[in-house]
Amino acid sequence: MNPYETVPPSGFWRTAVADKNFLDISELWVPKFRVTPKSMVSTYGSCFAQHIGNALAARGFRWCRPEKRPFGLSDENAKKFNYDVFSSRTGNIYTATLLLQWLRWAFGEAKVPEELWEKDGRWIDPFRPNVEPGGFASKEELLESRAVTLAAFRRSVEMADIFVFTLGLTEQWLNADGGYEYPMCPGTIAGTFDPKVHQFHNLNYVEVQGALNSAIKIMHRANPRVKIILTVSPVPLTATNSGKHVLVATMQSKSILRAVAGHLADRRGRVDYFPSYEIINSPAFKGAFFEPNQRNVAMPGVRFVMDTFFRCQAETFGINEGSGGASVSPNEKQNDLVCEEEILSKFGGQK
Amino acid sequence: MKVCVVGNSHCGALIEAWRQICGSWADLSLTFFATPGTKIRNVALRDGKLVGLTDDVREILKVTSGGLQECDPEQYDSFLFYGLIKSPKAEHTDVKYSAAVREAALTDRCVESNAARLIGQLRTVTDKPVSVAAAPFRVPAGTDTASAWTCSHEEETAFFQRVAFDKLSASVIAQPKETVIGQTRATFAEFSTGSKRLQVETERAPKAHPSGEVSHMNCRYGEIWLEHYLPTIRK
Repeated sequence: MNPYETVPPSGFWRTAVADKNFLDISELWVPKFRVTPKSMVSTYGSCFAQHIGNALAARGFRWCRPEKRPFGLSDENAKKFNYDVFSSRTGNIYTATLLLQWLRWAFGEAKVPEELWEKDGRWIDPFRPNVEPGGFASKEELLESRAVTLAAFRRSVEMADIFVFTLGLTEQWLNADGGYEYPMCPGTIAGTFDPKVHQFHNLNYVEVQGALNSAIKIMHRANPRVKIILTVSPVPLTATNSGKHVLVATMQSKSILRAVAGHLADRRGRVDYFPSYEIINSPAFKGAFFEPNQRNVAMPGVRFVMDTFFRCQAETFGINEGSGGASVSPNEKQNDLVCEEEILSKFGGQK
Repeated sequence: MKVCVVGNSHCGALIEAWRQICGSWADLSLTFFATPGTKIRNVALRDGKLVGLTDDVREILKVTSGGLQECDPEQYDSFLFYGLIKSPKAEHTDVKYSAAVREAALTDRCVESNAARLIGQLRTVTDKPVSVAAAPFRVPAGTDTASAWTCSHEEETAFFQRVAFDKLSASVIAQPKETVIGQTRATFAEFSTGSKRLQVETERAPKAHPSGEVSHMNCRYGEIWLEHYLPTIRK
């Protein structure tokens, strides 16, 4: 008798993967905790994180959104102005360090820098450059709007039973003088790039782990009951500033993020890891879930990921349905996603 | 002058009020084509007439119009689309939103409304005068207080006019000022007391709404509204 004799079929590649049609690969996740239709779930992260909130809402689960769209705003304009994209209007939070920065601001551990960007009389928030596509009418309007978002972000942590964070990138842009991070490189969506001030850094394993640990600490201090589900976006980088080939840079980033997420989930009882990254990226799935550009995840892939999420919940905890039935909103399309990073593709042109 | 009123359950207050005051407006006749709830989605222009697309809607239109199953624009001199732009709840506010977001929300309310849809269809067959009015503001529920907005209701009405209804050659009618609480989007509670449902069956008189009704207004409100509106069509 050796230990492998008691390993279940899901532990062997042949029975779990090779002998199956890839759409029949199952038991990919044994969740640590149950997400019930009553659970309040907050979602943040990279572009791919948007699917999770939408899927929860489509299934009748409680997607925590303390920052409400105004009465009458259509779905189309809500997306345009970043309502109902994440739990509050933070825009994409691509890195673990950006999540930590938002938490420190929201819980009073750090002050939001005074830097604002002005273009043609309109004001742009360097930390949410895409939430107001035409810019704000004035500094005051920008600051008031950001205060609303910070309060909502704080509430989304305090109210959450489950906090889902999708890690997207390790590459970050910093203000060397102020020591703070931008979600996008200045000069891309907005702002002006200054090589003396704006500094590139590619986070390593230890830095991502440290930032996530600090972020979790703030969240647990604010809300001791909150449980965290980490995921890693399967979407490759649009562009890299690392000097490496974008495919190699992508693998490095995703490997670090995946390793940290797995490590934290293994070590911490209140942290789990959901393998959306593997579902899309594993060779077992033959790249079938990607759009022809081999970057964007096609809607069948999103559905498969979210179906897996709910199916694994049901397999572990029993029937778990909300009032809805769809795995994703029937109207949701890939191009509905709000992805600031994709703006970088325009700088590649036809090269 | 013959006026055709197309609307939803909010027409109940106008119908009741019109019965009370029609004697004072002998030169006018009002014909109502109203449907409760969201059934107005099943009203559309077909062969130049506004018709119900389902049997139940056709039956209801017959009751509210006094026997007509369809609205033939040829038969009327003026049109009013009433209650077909949604109004916010009393606790809603626009204060914490940017100007761009506020404008987008107001525009969406108009452009995506059943009023804009039906007026757009009507405009393909007639250029007769058209007026449009949103659903009345709700009254604050219970002990709730109504929230203030960044601009007055009149300014908002002017915005509706500019962004959505100028191009349809339709005039937006604001809710009468004396019924609106300050710079809120709420109606004084006295105007919902004793409100009645839209009559949808010939034999049954309209039932009163349960106490605590916040959406629908009463006969008194209907009178004020009509006294506010009717002089505009005489002009």
